[in-house]
Amino acid sequence: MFELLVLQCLNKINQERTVYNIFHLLKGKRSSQTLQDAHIYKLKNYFGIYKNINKKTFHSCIDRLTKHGYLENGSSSTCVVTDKGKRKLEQNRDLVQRTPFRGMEYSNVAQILLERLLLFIQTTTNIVSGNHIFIPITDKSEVLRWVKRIYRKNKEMLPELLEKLYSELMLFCESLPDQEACIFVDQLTGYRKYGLSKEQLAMKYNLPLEDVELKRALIIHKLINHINRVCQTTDLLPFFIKDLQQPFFLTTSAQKTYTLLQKGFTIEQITTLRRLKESTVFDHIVEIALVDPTLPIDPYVSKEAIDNILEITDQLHTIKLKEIRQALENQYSYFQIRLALAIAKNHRRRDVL
Amino acid sequence: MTRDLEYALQQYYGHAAFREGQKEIIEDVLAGKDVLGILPTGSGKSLCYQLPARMVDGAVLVVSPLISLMIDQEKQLVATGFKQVIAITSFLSKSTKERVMHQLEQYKLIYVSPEMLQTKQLIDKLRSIPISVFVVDEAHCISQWGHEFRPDYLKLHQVVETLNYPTVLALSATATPDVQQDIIEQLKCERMVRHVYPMDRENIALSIEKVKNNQEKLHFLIDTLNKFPGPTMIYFSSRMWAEKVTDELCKHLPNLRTAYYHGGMEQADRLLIQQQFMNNQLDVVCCTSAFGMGINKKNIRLVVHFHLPTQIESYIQEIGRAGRDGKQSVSLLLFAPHDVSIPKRLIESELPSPMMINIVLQFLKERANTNQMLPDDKEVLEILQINEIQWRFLSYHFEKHGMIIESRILYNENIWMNRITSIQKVIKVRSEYKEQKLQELLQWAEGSACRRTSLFSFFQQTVKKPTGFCCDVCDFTFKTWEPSVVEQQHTKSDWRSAFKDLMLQGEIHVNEKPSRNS
Ligand SMILES: Nc1ncnc2c1ncn2[C@@H]1O[C@H](COP(=O)(O)OP(=O)(O)OP(=O)(O)O)[C@@H](O)[C@H]1O
Ligand SMILES: [Mg+2]
Ligand SMILES: [Zn+2]
Repeated sequence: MFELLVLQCLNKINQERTVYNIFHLLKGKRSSQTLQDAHIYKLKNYFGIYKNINKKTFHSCIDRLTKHGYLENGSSSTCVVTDKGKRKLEQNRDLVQRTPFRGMEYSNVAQILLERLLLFIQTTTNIVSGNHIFIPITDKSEVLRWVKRIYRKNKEMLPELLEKLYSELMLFCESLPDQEACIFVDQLTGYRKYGLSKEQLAMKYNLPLEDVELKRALIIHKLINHINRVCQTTDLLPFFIKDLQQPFFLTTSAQKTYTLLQKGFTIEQITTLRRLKESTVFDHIVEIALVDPTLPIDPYVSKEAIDNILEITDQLHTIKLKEIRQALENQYSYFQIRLALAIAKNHRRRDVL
Repeated sequence: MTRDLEYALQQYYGHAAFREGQKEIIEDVLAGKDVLGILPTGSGKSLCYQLPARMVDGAVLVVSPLISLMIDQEKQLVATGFKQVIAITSFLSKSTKERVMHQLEQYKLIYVSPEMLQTKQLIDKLRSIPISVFVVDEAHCISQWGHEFRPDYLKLHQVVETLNYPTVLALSATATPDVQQDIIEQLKCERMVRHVYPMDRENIALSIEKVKNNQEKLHFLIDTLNKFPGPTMIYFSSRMWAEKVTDELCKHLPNLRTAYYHGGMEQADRLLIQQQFMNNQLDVVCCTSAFGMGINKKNIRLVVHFHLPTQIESYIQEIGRAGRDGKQSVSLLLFAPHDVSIPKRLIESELPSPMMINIVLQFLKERANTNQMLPDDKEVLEILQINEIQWRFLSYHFEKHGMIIESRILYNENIWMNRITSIQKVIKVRSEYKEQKLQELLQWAEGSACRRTSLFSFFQQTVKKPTGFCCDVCDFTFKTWEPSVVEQQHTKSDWRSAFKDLMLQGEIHVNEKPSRNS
């Protein structure tokens, strides 16, 4: 699964970005560049689905793909997906095309939801069994505090809560393929039973470690989906993420710029006020335009310019900024071109490529 | 006073009586005397500072070598209801750390690493609160590591001074008379009261199995574990081997629940494995030395060394995980003719080679000539492809000789030549010392005298009479050993019933039986 996914990502960026951009994408790096890439190349769903990935794991995956002839090295840290690689993707359409991942929407919530759930189950099952001494499976203080608060409020009705959670999770698990249900249950820690580690899951289900990581993310994304679609408002599960949803997904810095823009500040003012480089504020604006279609952009790029840029993009069949700029005789700045591409994604809701 | 101590022991821990040495040490500490306490593994050294922490006015500061060890103890204390404990480690998030620092005076027991004690912010904070006792746990690390890659161990006496001389308590389970002396000197506590008790463990039989190669080691292991599937730890010198043997054991002994544990795993996964083992969900853990120190599982029956450790101290510390319930347990060293090359390589990898020093020098020279500062440690490791231990050793000495001051490189060809020569001398001395330590271990393993007497002859005059078997030379064979085996919990294989059980939604099944038939 991991290898296919990396292959798919590399196929989408089509040599216009380096392999490192994919690394950052999977890791969920919250930089303007990564967020924009995710939008432009339609890789949003893969954003942040493998937060623990390290360079070594990633490189050995690239090496394996190359060795199998699915990839060839391009220039300066890019990779070309070979015909063999494309066929491979075609054969696995289901997995890569209709991916159930929702990285951009969920990756932030996913980890915390999982940890809350794990600790909540560990805590309630232990206390209901009369055991008040146990080592919590997470030491993140925000998760510990959250569970403690819930526990204090509901001390008197833990068995009921547990039963409710059980039936809700049961319903969810029944909707999963068998192996995913097994993995979900195996990782849980209860009374006198600690959950299986990643390495143990890998061994038990004969999967590479990377796939276990992805499967666990996948299950949680499905769980969030389930919570949003199937759960009733009176259910317990929605409670686990209620306070976590964010309307837009922006870097913290871009968020600040966004607030200032909404208050009517100009780019120059923001630059001085926040002591940022102009190019950084440009990055922010592009990032914002990608997620907020209502952002007014006339101050930065005219309607006519947008049309010109998009037309050339269609003609040249590229979204390489440099080529576009040259084709338009350097009339427009890179900022304007990027903004136009971002707008194209949002307003016209059509494919750039 | 004496009655008070016994009362406190009963009240806080529910123990009826002190174990050998505990009371003597605690009494002296409470009387404000500096103490060197040498007690065997598993004898309850933690209690010697945890009990005083509840009785003295100020806080007790504990210097500990391993982060996992600190976190472990912290969690255990919190779980049992002692909340005024904190392990200040690099794992604390920035906001948590700030909060902790802000209210440090509310803690009675503070765990830190020697490196952490070199941060100004922490020291300033510690100075502002009353610290009554300064504890160095696993104090042999001062001598074992301080002279090399953990030089901050040698600066502890400065911290004691800065904190205005709290009572010092140094604890260890493996310290030769030389090392004891070194500890006292390095801490600059000449008037330390020594409470030194015999370090041998009466209930651990020592055995060595000589084999031809790794394949034979594996066979022997499989045979042994097939007969004695009790709680077992197997030590390896590398992560790769720990994983590999786990694979093999799972394949050959599917009923045995085996997992591996090493420093390459994430914290959360390590915790799961450790707790599964503590909880008897696992029978065998294949690990590196990242696992172990301080692990306090009562019923480990067998500790195996698949590879030779680098010195006797580590060996004693590691086999000390066995039989903490006092029942007969066994330590097994698997030993093949060419095994000595593994610890040798380990020792070499811990000190920089002459070639490496040249590369480092070249690098520093270039940076200095182009007026660049030293990049941070992580970057240096990447650029130079040198390991952390080697770099820590070098940078400590560069700083000591004023060649690098706060990331500024003060390059001067002639002066540096001299300094490098003296650093190389240090390396030579340390290599020889370590080589000699290894030779001691080797001689012991190759010898034909009683393992117990010969092993502990480095530490003390006599050994206690073993409660059961002594060693493979005297009386032990695996044929005559009959350890008690822990019954396996029954685990369900289909997820629906497993989930139901875990969430406590099932009825109680009366006819559940452990499913092992080996
Ligand atoms: N007086 C006592 N009576 C009964 N049990 C005790 C007593 N003191 C300590 N123990 C128990 O002994 C066990 C081992 O204690 P501890 O972990 O402190 O050993 P240690 O000496 O630090 O060992 P190591 O050298 O391996 O770190 C603990 O489970 C502890 O509860
Ligand atoms: Mg200890
Ligand atoms: Zn003997």
